[in-house]
Amino acid sequence: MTNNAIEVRDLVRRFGSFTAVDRITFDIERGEVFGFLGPNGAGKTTTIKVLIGILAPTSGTCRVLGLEVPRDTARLKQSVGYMSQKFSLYEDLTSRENLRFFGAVYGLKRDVIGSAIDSSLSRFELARYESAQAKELPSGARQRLALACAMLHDPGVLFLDEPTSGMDPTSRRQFWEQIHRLAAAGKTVLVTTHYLDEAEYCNRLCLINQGHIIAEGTPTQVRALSRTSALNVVCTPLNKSLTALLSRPDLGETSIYGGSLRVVTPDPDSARREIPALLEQAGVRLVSITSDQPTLEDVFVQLVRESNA
Amino acid sequence: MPDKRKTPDATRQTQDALRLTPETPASGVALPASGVGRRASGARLSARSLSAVTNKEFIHIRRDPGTLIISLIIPVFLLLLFGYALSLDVREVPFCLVDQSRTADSREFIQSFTASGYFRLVTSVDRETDARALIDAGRCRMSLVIPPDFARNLAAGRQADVGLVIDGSNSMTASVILAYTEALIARRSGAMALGIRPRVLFNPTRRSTDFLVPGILAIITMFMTILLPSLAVVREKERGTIEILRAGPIRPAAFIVGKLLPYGLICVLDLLMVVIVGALVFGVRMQGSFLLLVVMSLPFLVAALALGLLISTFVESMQVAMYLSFMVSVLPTILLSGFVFPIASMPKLVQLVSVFVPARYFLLVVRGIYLKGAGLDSLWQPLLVILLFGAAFLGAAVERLRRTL
Amino acid sequence: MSMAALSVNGLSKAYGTVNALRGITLEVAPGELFCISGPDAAGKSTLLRVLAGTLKPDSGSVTILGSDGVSRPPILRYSIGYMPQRFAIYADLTAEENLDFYCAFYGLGRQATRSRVENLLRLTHLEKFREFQAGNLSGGMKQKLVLACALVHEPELMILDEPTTGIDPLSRREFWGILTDYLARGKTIIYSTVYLEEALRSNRIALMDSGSIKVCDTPEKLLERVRNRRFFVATEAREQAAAALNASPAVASVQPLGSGVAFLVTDSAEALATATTALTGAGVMAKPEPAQPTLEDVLILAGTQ
Repeated sequence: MTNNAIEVRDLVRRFGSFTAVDRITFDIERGEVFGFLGPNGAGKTTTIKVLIGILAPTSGTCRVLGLEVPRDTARLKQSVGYMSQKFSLYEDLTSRENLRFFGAVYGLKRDVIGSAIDSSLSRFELARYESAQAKELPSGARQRLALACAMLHDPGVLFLDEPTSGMDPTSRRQFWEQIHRLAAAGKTVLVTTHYLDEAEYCNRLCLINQGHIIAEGTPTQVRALSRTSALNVVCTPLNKSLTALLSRPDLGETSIYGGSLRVVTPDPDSARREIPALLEQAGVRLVSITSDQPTLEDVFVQLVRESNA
Repeated sequence: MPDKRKTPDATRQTQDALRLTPETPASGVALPASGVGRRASGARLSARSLSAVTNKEFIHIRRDPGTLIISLIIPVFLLLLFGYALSLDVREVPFCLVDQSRTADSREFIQSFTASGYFRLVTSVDRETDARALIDAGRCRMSLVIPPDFARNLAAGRQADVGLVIDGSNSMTASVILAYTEALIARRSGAMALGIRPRVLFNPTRRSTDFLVPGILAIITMFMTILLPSLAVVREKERGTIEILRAGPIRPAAFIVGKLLPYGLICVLDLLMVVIVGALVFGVRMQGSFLLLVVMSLPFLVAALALGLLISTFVESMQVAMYLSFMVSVLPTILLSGFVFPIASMPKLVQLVSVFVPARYFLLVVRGIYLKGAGLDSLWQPLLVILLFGAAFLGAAVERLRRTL
Repeated sequence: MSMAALSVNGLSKAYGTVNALRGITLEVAPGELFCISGPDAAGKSTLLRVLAGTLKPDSGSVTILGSDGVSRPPILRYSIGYMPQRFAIYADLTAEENLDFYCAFYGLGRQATRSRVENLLRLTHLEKFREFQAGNLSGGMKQKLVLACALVHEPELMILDEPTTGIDPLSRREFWGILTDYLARGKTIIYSTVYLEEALRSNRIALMDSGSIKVCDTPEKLLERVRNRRFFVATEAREQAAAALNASPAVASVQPLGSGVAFLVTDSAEALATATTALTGAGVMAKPEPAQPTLEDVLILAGTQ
């Protein structure tokens, strides 16, 4: 049997004349944490819906844990968990009550459900919030509870759609530790996120834009796909320099970075050449220009723009 | 996705876009870092902010078909519903006859009943017990028993008694029936000409809708003015935009006025519609002038709008706003304001409660204008009470808004 | 300009028994891009709401653009632009109608309104969507529209509460492009974020926790505190590595990543050596490499966690 938890082959999904997903192909191994990235409307949610079995492909095949979707979706219900960005918790139910509800929905037997809830509460560090209503929980605990509800039936595959939206850094870090523990236990996790620093947490990434895959690989591999580089420009006065650099968007994207300016550019060499003259002309004193590694977000944005052009 | 590689010209355009007008962006008023008096244009600016809120509210109303339907169609619907259905009139009361006299006099007497149009002879029976059985069975609402000595008593100039058994299960119509028959009999015994012209003598139709239309006006006004603003404010709360408005240059009072103005206008429109429909469909013409009605309604409109606003400060969702508005407005108005049930006939405790129902006073005003063409001289008392209510609700609403929003 | 754009002293605010703000003191210079970050319930939103004037503090003083921020004269209200949390936009109004409303609200004349609305629609690339009801726009477009609405009156000070939460990276870039342009004109911007990468794109950051400011400094200086303290070991045996590091007294925090484990060492010369020994002891032979420190590490080391 294949080691792939998820296999997607030439998936196409059209809505009328609009092609949401345009022939994508990828594999996800068991126990992998797979990052699914892309702008809004790129086809991420559509792909996930096909994999869960609530949308049928226009053409192409998808396999989850060896079973074909949507044909075998019923058989997969016990093995797949889904957490959407809207949390899907009942606000006025307590943690325990929410878990009990989802347990019943997933068809957990009565004798099993009690212990499943208890172990969930301890596994996701929710024991102290057991009797608190979902609306009273701090955001970190809420997301953990939503994850616990999606995991109650111990699925082998987990689809997480922007699970950390709005969470503060600590809670996000703890959430990702939780994900990694699950992966270590052999669960396969497909995650979408708008926080590209979280992409570093993934084993492999796949970047989708306008229905196509435009990049795939480990975070390191994806980063290497773009010529994008960043330049740290230390100069003074800052405001004047900012205006000067903003007037030349062709050189790169300028933003504030502490006491200096950061220019993200697809062509670092020509930027390095032209910036000194530009700043001098603006009457600004250039202190230094140093190279910096582009963030994954810089690379992401550049790749998407290139694919749009 | 547009190409981000802008040409230098395009960039300058962007800069210009943000630069816009140099130092005086707003209508001739500088935005300084330090305080510069803007007294002269202050009022104009405030008016602009207020009208902005009002115009926006009109757009919301237009885009929300539910509110539109509620505010324009329901009043007319209620009027028609109450007007036709809530008939206090009685027509063609089915009755059965026990004529133990069987004389020309008795037949003449019976004729006056049937000719009036208010009574309809169903059947004739021989015994009173049979008549009662028919009433019990529901085949008639009344039985007329003419005793054997009817004609003899009349001829002798004595009082001729006639027996009436009225189905009292609907006490209101029963009393009306009683009134009709008493009047009929009185006339008969006064030996006036038969051939009753009911309209002139009784006018019961007119009376009941005359009675009802002002009351419906009050209910509708009360309901609309309470419901609509509470929906409007709750809707604003639900969006988070209210935070931006609070940070902005509008006083809470001005914001309230701006938001309520469209609903006030709609309510005046509703008033007009009810008056027109009342006149056209039910023939109820207002004795006083419409202008007077509007002017005298204004305090009540303000009071009810303020109440609606007050409700909205306690409520988080639109559904709860609707239910609360209904409970606070329609129910007390129908039951306790004197709309259908006279206040004087209510238990003392309930009468006390009705003192706190604003619609009670509005009803006095509206009925006064409608039925008697009354003016300020006779209506200043209820008007004063309404003003007091208005001040109380408005004060409470503003205070709540200041604290909670 | 020596006067601070924004000055807060001893600001406190409590909700019942919860102390949302405890004696906050800070100063923001004119033209500064100032960030407030920190964990949940740190008081970020509360602070911004006091600055925006939608909340009254219990004690302390607020001076904004030379005026009293508590009594808030009308002039001040015309000089501040505020973006609260959530998509604060009128969903049933079109993009254009939203902009028209705010222009009128801030007292712009008809002609000024026309030109400003056109410019802002162009700036936010929403011209094609001007007739769309705002509720039908995507998250990124909505947020750009909210920003445009907050800019109609060219405020000197912009206050933004988690402005890019929930929107995709591309829209976030565009959003920041617009803001950076605005900043270049000498305006002051104060914003809050939970996205640490976004926090780094500021002149100064104030890290808040439980109602107080724990640290406030430039991003470089904050990261300097954790320089040479963060390392990354690439390994498949993540569990073992993490366990070994967690057990070591030389390690302040452990963060499993996709391809290995990152960790923070304590402030001692031998910390790295100690940690490395712990790793080899667990059978992880890979050598830890120095890694780029993050703001999170600052938070952890400032004892905010």
